[in-house]
Amino acid sequence: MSASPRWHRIVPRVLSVIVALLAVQYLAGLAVRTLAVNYGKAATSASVNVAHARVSPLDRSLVLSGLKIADPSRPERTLLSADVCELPINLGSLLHKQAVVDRGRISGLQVASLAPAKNSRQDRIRWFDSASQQSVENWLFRLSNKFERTLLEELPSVARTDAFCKRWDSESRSLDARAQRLERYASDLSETVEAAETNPLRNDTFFQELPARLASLQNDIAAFDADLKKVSASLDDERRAIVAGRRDDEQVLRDRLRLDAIDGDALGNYLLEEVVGAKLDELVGFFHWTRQAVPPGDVKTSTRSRGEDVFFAGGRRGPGVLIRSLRLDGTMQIAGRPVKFHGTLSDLASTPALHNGPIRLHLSTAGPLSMDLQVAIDRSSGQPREMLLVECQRLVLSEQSLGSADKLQVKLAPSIAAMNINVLLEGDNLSGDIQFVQSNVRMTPLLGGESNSEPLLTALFDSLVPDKSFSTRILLAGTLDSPTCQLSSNVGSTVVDAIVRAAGRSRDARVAMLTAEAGRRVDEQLASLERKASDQQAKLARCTRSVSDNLERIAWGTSPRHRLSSEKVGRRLPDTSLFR
Amino acid sequence: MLFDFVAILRQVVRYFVANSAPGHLAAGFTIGMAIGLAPKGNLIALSLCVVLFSIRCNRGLGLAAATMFSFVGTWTDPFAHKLGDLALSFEPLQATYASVFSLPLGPWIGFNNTVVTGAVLTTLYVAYPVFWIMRQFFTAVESLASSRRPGCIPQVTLESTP
Repeated sequence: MSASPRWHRIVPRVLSVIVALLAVQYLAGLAVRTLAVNYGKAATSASVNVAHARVSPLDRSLVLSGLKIADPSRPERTLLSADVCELPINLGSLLHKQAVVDRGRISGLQVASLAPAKNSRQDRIRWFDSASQQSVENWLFRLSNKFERTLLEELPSVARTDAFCKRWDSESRSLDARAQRLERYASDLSETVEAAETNPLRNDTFFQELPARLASLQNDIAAFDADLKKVSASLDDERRAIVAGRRDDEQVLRDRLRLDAIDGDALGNYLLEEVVGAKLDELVGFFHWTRQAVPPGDVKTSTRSRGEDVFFAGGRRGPGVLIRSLRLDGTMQIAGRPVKFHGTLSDLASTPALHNGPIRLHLSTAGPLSMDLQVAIDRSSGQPREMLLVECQRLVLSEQSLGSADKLQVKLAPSIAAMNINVLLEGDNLSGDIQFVQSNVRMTPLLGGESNSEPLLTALFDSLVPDKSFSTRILLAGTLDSPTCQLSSNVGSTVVDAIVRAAGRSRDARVAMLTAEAGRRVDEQLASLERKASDQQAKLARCTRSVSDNLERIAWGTSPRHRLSSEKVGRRLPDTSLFR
Repeated sequence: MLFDFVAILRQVVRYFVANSAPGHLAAGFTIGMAIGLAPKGNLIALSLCVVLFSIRCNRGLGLAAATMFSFVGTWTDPFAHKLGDLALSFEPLQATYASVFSLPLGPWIGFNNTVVTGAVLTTLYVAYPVFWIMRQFFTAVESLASSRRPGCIPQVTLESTP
């Protein structure tokens, strides 16, 4: 009898067993992939994709490759992706209908953001008081208006000079008219006298009234002369008054250009509103996401399609899937830069309320951007609790713009910042303290829109302290649905100080410029007026002299006129007279 | 048409009952009923399947009964739920339940499900009556079949003898 094994029977059976095992492994991989996708979708409410899943019986582990989790609000954006996820299963736990991973590992993890992007349709939280923002905008408007307005006409000396020039012009025109009238009257009178002298008898009455007329005209000329002298005297008086009024110009200008006081915190809120509001929205969005991903509340008795599962007092009760420790390695985006990190995710349970510890995430980055992030999500007690701790001593920030470009914008040059975030969400009550310190920041102010006043901007540049350190502290309070914040920062007070200093410098320069310009203008106007006055006086003096001469001539030419006697009028020369 | 249906039914019945004693048929039917009534996906249902395929009984009839009673199960579930809830809420046994549940494979048994426990208790209660009735029924059917077979002496089996 042959003792050799029957290979023709053994080999096919062994091969069949191997093929069956491989088939089971393949099918188990498919099942695990489906389970992972479904579980991920249920947990994150987002599209989850697993490229490949493998069950390794020898290692007693599950290996998921090409894991991708999309952003629930923007499905085209990948929130998280991982190259390999190794989950060694504790076989003992399977006997208790649990899948427990004691030490797992995810490598090649790429985190776009810790929380999904906020839906643009969602209303933004109003973190800051709109009345305060409005008061700052009004203040900026007044600031720009102060330096944009032409104040020259409002100066007392200029206004007085302008008024006097106008008054003098009208008086001058009036004097001219009077002089012309006198001249015309004298001329007319002279012509009338000449005409009357051709026939004195007929114009006897005229000649009788002529002295009175001449006297009246003389009086008019005297009055005119007096008015002329008065105008000349008033010019001197007004000049003295204007010179005296110049002393008030400077005070008036200083009063008009005086800047209203503004609270530094209000301006800080105005400048930081956009940046801080966006970050706080992101922070609150993260807590909303944790509440959605790990819903709080007591564990309800799972209702299956048939019957209910009853859990017994004192019985062992745990989550279906528990990852005790998961080592994470990958890169994440911080301040727009990819940063390598490593960390641990521990006590991640499919039903966190059934696990007696909080889910903890601890991430650390090394290198120039050193950051330590800790997240704890506790659902073990009746009150849900989340905690976020971030500590970063060296955060490299790119250039930032604070404020709005059309009003006041402050550009901060790239800088190094230290950040400390400590936020606690207990139940619905939010509390937190966020501190942010930027050291050696170069600040560039920009006054936008119509308020871009060059002298003020130049003064603002000169006033700002270069490479100053800024610290910002935000205290969070309120509830998750209506959070509030209190912001205190020296950014606002620094900018206010700089603006006040700049406005002071700009005001001094403007006051000096305007007073000089006003003096020049007043001097020119007065000089011009004097020239005009002297010309007019000369002209009017000539005029009155000619009128007076004319009157004198008339007076001498016609005096004395007596009534003609009959002898003078009617005596005829004898015919034999030698003169006939 | 009707004759064709009757012929098919006769063939199916013959397939199930051929070469099987009424006791085997009744046992298969009873186990199948237990499998059908209880929710699947637990060790109780799996154990019943193992029993069905392990003991000497009619497996075909058992599977047919399991399929049939799976549909019937939806009607009996409310009753099974109430019964199971009553049993699982029994205070003196809570510690026992908890210790059994904490044992390895304890959660896989599925006894903490009200319908599973109710169905098991219902099955235990009706198992012997069903077995007895079905044995009587199959004995009668077999006798009827033997008497109608021309020239054939009715086969007397050990199980069918009183």
